[in-house]
Amino acid sequence: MGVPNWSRLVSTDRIKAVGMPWSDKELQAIRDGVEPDFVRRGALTLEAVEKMVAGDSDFLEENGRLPVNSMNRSHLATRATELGIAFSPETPEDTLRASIIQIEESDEAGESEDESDQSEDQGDPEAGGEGEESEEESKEEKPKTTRKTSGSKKK
Amino acid sequence: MIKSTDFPALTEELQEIFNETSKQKISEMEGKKLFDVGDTTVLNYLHLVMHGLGHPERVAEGQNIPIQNADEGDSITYSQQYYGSGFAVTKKMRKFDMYDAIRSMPGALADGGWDAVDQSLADVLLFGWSTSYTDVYGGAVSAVGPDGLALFNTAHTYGDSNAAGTYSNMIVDSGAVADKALARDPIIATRAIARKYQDGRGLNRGIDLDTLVVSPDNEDLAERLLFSTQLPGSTNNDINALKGKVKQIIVWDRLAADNAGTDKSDYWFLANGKNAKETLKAKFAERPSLDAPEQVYENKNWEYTLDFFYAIGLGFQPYVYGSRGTA
Repeated sequence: MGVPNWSRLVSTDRIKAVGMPWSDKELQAIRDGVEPDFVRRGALTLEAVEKMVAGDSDFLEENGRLPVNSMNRSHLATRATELGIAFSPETPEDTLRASIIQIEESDEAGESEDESDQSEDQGDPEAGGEGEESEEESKEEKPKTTRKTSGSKKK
Repeated sequence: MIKSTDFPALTEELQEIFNETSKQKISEMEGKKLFDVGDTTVLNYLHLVMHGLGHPERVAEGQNIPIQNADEGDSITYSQQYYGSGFAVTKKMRKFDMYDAIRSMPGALADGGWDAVDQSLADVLLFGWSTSYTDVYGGAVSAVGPDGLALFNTAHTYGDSNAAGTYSNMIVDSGAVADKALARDPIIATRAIARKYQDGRGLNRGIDLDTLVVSPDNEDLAERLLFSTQLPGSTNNDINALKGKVKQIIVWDRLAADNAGTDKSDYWFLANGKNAKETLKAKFAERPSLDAPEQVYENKNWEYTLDFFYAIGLGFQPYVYGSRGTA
């Protein structure tokens, strides 16, 4: 049947995403005053929004930028350019967000592989001694993240 | 024996049978009473919902009359899909003059074609609560309107940049319960809601739901509810105030079951007879017709084909209300 103007509907928050209307609970949350962007991230109450905002602030403080899930279109465009992602103005926001998360996660995985290679060069970390110490250090250095997908390294 | 020289006469006769059957089927199609069945020449038909102009303003003496801009709403694109079917007049049929078999085929082909078209229209209503479904041709179709929602929804948006709020086109009773079975109370309650419909700017633009659409199972009840002189099913002599308000009952056989055979005979709909055509669209780029064949040399069949292009879709939704009749 017909294809509506999805980008207009999403950009005016009249639907959740392309091809996906708001659920009854989400719609009720919007009527209760929750910003649609927070509802898209899963917050259905104002309390949940407060927690999300606090988490975003912590992340911003630790990493110097917003978590990917809370970025708006212009932030996403900047970050995508930094990561060398080719996109156009027609690229849906969700696709852009997913691409950034994917690249950040693969970068992180690459970095941890490098780290483990280096550890192996220095000796077996499970053998105790210095290995355990370095693991604790790396835990301390790892930034707190509000969501699993948004934990990239400070730039 | 039917020879090659008989081919033009046979083709003409078969096309005549096809056209006669098609004419009969089209006259019986209930879908065209609700749908805007029109023609188009474009592959992707863009339908723009217009909300008219703003209402007039008070004009002071000597002041220019304000020129209003048209209020654009949402848009939706209907893409033409191609459908086809055919039959073969085999060498055996021609050799042994099997006229009865040959003459039965174009009629059956026309029947099947138009039945499928009409069922595809009925399915728009029967699947009106879903955002997608499998159509009568076996394909998955998106079933959303210009606002990205299914046909029947409690929170349709207007699409007008000046608009606020939402509207519902679900049939409800006086207690605001949806999906009620066909009865007097939900008809009255829903008609009252529609009469109080406001556009996106809050201007009263009442909609008169003057058409009731039911499956054959509800035909008798529908007629008693709407056409009895006194209150139906009651011992008092109050007049039936609905009489004459809902002017038209459309009893649509295909509403008894969807294309998958699921019983939906309890479903019923209220519509504004005139404006429902803004909500329900069917655009033909090519209407079903029987094409004269070429002989297929591998098997010596004469293959006659039927093909057509059309697209169905939704426009602005407040003119049709629906209930699944389950409550």
